Amino acid sequence: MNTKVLVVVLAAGVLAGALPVSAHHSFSAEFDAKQPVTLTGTVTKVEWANPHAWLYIDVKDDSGKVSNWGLELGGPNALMRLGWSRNSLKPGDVITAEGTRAKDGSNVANARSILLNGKKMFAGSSQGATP
Amino acid sequence: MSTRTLCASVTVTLLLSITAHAQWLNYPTPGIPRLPDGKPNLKAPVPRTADGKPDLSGVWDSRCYSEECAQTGAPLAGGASPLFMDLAQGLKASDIELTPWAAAVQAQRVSRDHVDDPFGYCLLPGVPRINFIGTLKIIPTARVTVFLYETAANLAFRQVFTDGRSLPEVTEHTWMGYSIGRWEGDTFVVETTGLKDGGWLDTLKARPHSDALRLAERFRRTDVGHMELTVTINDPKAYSKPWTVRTALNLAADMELLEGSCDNHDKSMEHRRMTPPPPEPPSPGPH
Repeated sequence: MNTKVLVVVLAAGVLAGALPVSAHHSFSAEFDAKQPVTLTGTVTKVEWANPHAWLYIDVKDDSGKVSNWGLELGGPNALMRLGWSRNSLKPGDVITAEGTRAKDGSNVANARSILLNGKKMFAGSSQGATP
Repeated sequence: MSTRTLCASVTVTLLLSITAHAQWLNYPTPGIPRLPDGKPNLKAPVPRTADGKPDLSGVWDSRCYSEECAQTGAPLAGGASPLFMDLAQGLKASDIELTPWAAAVQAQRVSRDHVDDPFGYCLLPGVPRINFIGTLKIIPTARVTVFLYETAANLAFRQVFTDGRSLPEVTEHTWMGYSIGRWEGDTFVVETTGLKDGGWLDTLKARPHSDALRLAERFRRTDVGHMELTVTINDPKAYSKPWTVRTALNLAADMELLEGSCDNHDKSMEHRRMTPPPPEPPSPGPH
């Protein structure tokens, strides 16, 4: 791994996981840190509201079955200060989310980062050093 | 350039390469000294008011909005200050001695996975914790210095009275308390009482305070871009001796506060599976 790649990877790590981020509520109360998920799907709905924005995506599994997942992001304030706008994602966009699944096993996850068109965006969510 | 510095630079570059569209962000704050390239000169001397006192005016944040700031290792915008998680971060364990009441409250909160944090229910995070979760704006006036706070969940204010009044006998205890301020040299000292049982000093450690907490916050602006903040917790019901934390705030130049409210809180609550919180034992009287 050359230095440039290493730096990008490390920087992404800083963005994606190492920061204690805007925790409005207890992360561990809702999400299971032992269940990391990576989901690729098509955006069906965006709810742009504090204290947490929510993103919904249709995810197709190996058998072709489609399930709708809800992804909790940080609030719009944190997202805007990170460079997002309410138009950053729209229905039809295909994204890959990295995050952590809900403890109750539902199709819900806390998103750590969103990859869209090759650009990774920190999701400002409650993941990280939160309890 | 060290790897850490390099990483911070890349991280900030990534952040700044995305254009922010919000109308409250990226508007040049008037009156800030600037460098030839137009960026705020964060190392310029402390601005002063007509009476010669340091002017604390501005939008402040425990987190970073500039490359220079991020290179110090402080958390970037969008995150939370480590002190929001653990107010005593950096102190020795022996610096903090919980009373039996406080230890029991803390143990209950931790055993319930922190789900009872009032901030998680969109209640105010209280002081001093609110200094470390969001962005704040200080507006000094002749007789009161106003602190406006933005978090993802709520908006809050503090009126720090500087008209010479004393701290009152508080009968109504609140999340944010009752504050008076005075100058000690170039340091603005804010004393607060009237805080209620049930407050959380920090999020990860879930340390309680009682209604006897007498909080001292010392703000000392060291240049345009930086403010030292020293917080002293003096709460004999909860801690057998006072303890002090030293930290810093950074000027969030060229941006304003944003509205924060729990518009979408119901959605978050749908995913929370928890029993109603058991009552916490009240702090030992009197109240």
